[in-house]
Amino acid sequence: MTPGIRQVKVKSPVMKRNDEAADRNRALFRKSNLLCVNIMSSPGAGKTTLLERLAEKLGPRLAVIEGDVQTRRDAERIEKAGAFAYQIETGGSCHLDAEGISTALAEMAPFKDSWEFLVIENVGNLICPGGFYLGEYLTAGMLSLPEGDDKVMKYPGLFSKIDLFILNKMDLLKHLRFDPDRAEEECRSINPRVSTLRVSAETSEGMDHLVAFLEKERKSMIEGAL
Amino acid sequence: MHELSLATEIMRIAADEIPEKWELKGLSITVGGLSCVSPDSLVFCLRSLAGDGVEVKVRRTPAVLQCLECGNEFETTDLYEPCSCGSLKRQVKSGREITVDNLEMKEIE
Repeated sequence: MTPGIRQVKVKSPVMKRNDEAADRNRALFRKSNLLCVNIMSSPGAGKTTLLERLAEKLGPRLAVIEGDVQTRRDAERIEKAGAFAYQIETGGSCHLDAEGISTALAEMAPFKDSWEFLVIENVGNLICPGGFYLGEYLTAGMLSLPEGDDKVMKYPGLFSKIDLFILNKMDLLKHLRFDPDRAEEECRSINPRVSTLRVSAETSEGMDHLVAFLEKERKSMIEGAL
Repeated sequence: MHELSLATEIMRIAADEIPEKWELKGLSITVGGLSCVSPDSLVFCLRSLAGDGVEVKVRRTPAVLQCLECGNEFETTDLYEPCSCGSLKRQVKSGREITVDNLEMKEIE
């Protein structure tokens, strides 16, 4: 007997299982009135320093999930700055996925009543993290001035989908040939609804605007849910 | 290298479809131009997981943008390409999808 050959039409989205876990995470955030932000950038752009400043301003209102390939260093920095931190060590993976976040959330339970904001600091990488929805309400992409003002179009997958575009290390502007208008204009050209902020986590310049932005977004999230 | 995570998920989806006494012979996959997936890496990972006997086809589709000035929708591989009306205000309509389209399987003798 000759063996049979069969063709099967599947049409199955590869991200389905991840996205279902992300939706469960999102439901949990909504139930807890927790504004969740997934922040992504290249390594060294200043994500952890930005979150240290945020921890100093928000204290017990902020919880952070840190994603790194290795070490608890970032979580320790956030704790020292005054906020709760949970470290995920991916062990080699270049991104966080929704199931990893679900596991972290289960270990973080019960959530503290004081938590209003949860920031997930993704693994430093401008490519892979952009493909994985984690259940966040807001997606932030950060670019720091030393990286160059031409980077948006080099990594369109990420910059075309973010809700907030942060330019960091603005204190270095006078030393660098970086045109902030160009970077923001390129981001807006493929992502017309993106909000933009210019900050220096080092000097705290612009940090109050970031806090105000997060407060406003949390308010509209809660009002939108009613 | 998140292609390995994707390849692992694709193999799981395939395993769900394949009944007993059948084996995977071919896979066809579509990745959108904005999905941040390298077709070559994905093929490499799938071959490593599925074995050389499985034919893997990965098709990359261009991103589709819509112009916010004139409403025109157009395919592009160059995301800084303006709309034909000259506008650079475009929004992404599609291009992020990653789908397993078809499987081919063979009855084990």
